Parts: sequence; C-alpha cells; structure tokens
Amino acid sequence: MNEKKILNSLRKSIDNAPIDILDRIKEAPREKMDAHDEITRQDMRTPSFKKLMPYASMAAAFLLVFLGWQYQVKLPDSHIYIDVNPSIEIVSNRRDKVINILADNRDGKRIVKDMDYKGKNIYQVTEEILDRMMDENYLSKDHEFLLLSVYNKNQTKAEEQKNSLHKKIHDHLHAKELQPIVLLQKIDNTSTIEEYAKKYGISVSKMTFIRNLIILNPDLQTEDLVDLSIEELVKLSQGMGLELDKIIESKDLDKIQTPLPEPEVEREQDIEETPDDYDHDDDYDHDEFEDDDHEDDDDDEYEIEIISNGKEYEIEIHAYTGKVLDFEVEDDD
Amino acid sequence: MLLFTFVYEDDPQNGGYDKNNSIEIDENLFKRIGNDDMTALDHLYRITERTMYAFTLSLTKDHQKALDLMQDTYVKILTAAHLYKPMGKPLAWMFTIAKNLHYTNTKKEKRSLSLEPEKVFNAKRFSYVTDPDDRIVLEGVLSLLSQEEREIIMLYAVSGMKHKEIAESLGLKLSTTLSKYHRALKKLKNYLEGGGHRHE
Repeated sequence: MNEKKILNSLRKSIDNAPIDILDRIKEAPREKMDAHDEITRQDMRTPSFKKLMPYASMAAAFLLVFLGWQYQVKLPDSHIYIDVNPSIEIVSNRRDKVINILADNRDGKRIVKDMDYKGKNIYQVTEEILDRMMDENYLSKDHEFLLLSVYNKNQTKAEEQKNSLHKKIHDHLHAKELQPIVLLQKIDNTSTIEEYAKKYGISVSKMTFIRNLIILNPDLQTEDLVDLSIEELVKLSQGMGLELDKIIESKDLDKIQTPLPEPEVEREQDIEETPDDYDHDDDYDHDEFEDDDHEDDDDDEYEIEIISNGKEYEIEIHAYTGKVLDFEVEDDD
Repeated sequence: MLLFTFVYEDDPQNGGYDKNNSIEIDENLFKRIGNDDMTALDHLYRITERTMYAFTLSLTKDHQKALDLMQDTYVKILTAAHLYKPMGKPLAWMFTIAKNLHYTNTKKEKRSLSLEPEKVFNAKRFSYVTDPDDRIVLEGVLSLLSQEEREIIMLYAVSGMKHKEIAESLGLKLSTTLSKYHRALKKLKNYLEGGGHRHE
C-alpha cells in the first residue's frame, strides 16, 4: 500500500467515525473561568520566528540598504590634507563626495569660511580651495609649495586619490600660470600624531611632515618647526642638507633639489672665541659661523644665517653637540 | 539591493493525496463563543470536528475515550473562550487543551487500582471501520506508531493541514514533523507489506 492509499484509508476511517457530541457539549454544565488554568493556558511566547521571517527579511533588506547608503554616503572614507600655510582637511565618502571640510589652523579658517561643499567631489573642492589660496596670496609665483597627504584605510585607494589629486592640482595651477611644487607624503593616522597636531594647532599631515623631518635630523625641535609654512620647512631642510626624498614623494622633487640660489651669507659678528677643541683654520672662511656670546659662557654655539628667496634663516647650533638650539625665519628686508 | 526570499515547500511526496479540506479558523469565533454566541460554537465544531477526533484518537487510541476527550475539550473552550488571546494559532490552543486534559486523565487512571492492561486495538470499538484494509491501517497507526507519529500522520491525513501548519500547531520544528511523518509511513508500509503483522 502506498502513501496515498494509507492516507486515504485513514481519512475514510475518521470520516466514518460516529461523532455526534455537539448537543452533549452544549448541555454540559460549565462555568466561565476567571483566568486561564493549566489546561487552557496559552503559549504566550512570541510568534514563531518563521512567521516573522518575511517581515524580518524585509526589515533586514531595508536595513542593509540603509546601512549601505550610510556606508557609501555618510561615513568618512578619505581624509585629504592640503597644507600651504593654510592647513585644510577634506573629508570624503566612498563616492569621493565631500562630506566635511575642516580648517586646521587660523589661515585655513580664512580659506574655508562659507565654502559650500555639498554635492561636490574632492576634485571640485580642491580646485576651489586652490583658487581661494591664490586669492589670498598663499599660493603665487613666489609661493608654490604645497603638501598633499591622503589618508584612507585602503592604501590602494589612498594612493590612487593622491595621484589623481596631484595631477588635478598641477593642471589647475598650470592653467593659472603657476608651477606648483606638490609634495606627496604617506600618512598614518596615529593617535600620537593627532595628539601632537592638536597640541600645536596644526594639521595631522603637517605634524607628520615635521615628525619625519625630526627623524631625519633628531636635533630639530617640534616647537621650532610648527610655525613654519611648508615652503619654509622645505627650504630649511634643504639648507640643512636633509634628504627629503626619504620622507616625501613628488614628481616635482627635482625642482626642489635644484640648488637654490647661493645663500647670501653675511657676516654679523666675527668669531672672537671658538671652542678649544675647534680646529680653527686661518683660511676657514665660513664667517657665517658665529660664536654667540651668551650670558652662559659654557653654552658655546654657532649661529648660521642663510638668506635666500627674500627670507633670512637663523639657526643656532651647539658648538659641541651639534644640536640645533634655535631656529628663526624672517623676511629679509 | 539584496532581497531575501524564503519559500517553504510542502512535502512533494504526498502522492497526489487530496488535501483541499484545509481548516481555516477565524479567531473571532472564540470571542463570539465567549459572548455565548452558540452559532459560533456550531461553526467551530463543524469545521474542527474531524480534526479534533483524529487528534484525540491519536492521544487515546480508543474511539470512546476520544469522544469523551473531544467533549471535554470543547466544553473547556466554552468556559475559556472569553480569555483567548488571538495569536494566529487557534488549532494549537485547541490541541493544547486536548493534550492537557488527556494527560490529566491519564494521571488519574494510573492512580486507579486493578486496571487490567487493555488491548491496544479493540476491534469492537472501531466497528464503524468496515473495510478490512482500512481497519488494518488504523490498527497499524494506533498500535505501531509513537504518540507524536500518530498525531502527525492523523492530522496530515484528516485535517488537510500542511506539514508546516501541523508543526506549528504541535509546537514542533518542521524538520522534526517531516522526519516523524516519513518514519511513521515507513513503519506502516512495512507493517502492511507483512499483511498487518508486526515486524520487529
């Protein structure tokens, strides 16, 4: 006997069963219950998950769509830092649309003030920032240094954005008859860098650059460097012979390494006294070295002055340890 | 965009068995019964009578006891219908009442003294089953199968409910219901192939 026959047979048997108890039911003595007892208690567990499955599926689908939208549109993906002297951070989503612009210093605030970035991509906003920097003379034929840093967890994407922004910046500034020197650097968003950046009121990218300069020359002091513009930092590095190509990458690196005009060295004060162990050569003509006559005679130091591109750089170096004691940059009047 | 679709397929191996008499109970019937509307009771009884009998028979394995249990179940429904909270599973509530009453009765019977072991299948009590083949099948169901197997196969044969609905009404997983159903069928087939003699 197959399944069908078994089921039909059972059904026939039950259908033929003499069941006529409705009247007995109606006539049975009964009293309405005040509350459920153990017999009639309903299973009050929440409806079976399977019943809710279609609704749960729809909710899950909507949630996925919503989260996907949030993920694509609302959540920060890339942080793009542009440092000239104004330091500006562009925050973009996964679609390269700008979702926030932050000014990391006072000059930066001037540039981004009232900037409308809604619906614009990182390239449009970058061009607008460059235009504003030119209007405010932060970028000009005499000041063409720009540090570009991109942070993204996906290093490949960071690299792609960095390269495409580099090209955009070049194209845009070339059109304005500028020959920018765009420095590119890798950036790690470490809490230490962030902490220092906040402490000195500069961008994470500039702090990274300064940290890297200090790695190249541990005698440099953060306090001395934070107030310098990117251009000033680069020229200082060159003046000190630091190998910038170890910390930055740039197709404009050759321009940077082109020897700057021979620094105009001027003698401020003759060396009257040199350290005992300094093998002074009569023919030594480096009169830019100067033993500063400080109150503390033990602190013998040399002062180096470099005049270049209208700037005067003053570096004080300890005569024995070689440590940079002070560094200043002033316009050369 | 991702969309999830869940499709439940009923057992395709039902051999084309006619299952068009599926029960649909409007839960408002209980509210009306709670308000002493006897036409609502008539309606409820009419659409559930055979299913409740199949279920109580699978519990008691005895025609008369099944009728008594049915009566007690409907009376209990009359006394508690006003307390019923619609949860989408009216049959499950009715089965629960029947089962709880059966367990209570069984406990009472066990306490009674001098009860002789009763023959599992008392042919006299199923005299209404005149076809010898039908009788062998019913005997096989009542004597061979476990209680849950009996409940499942009886409900599937009589009520027109799908396995999924049976599972929900009995508070079982669909996979459990299907597994027990097929195990029961296998037992029955073996039994029937042996001419109604039990193969251990």
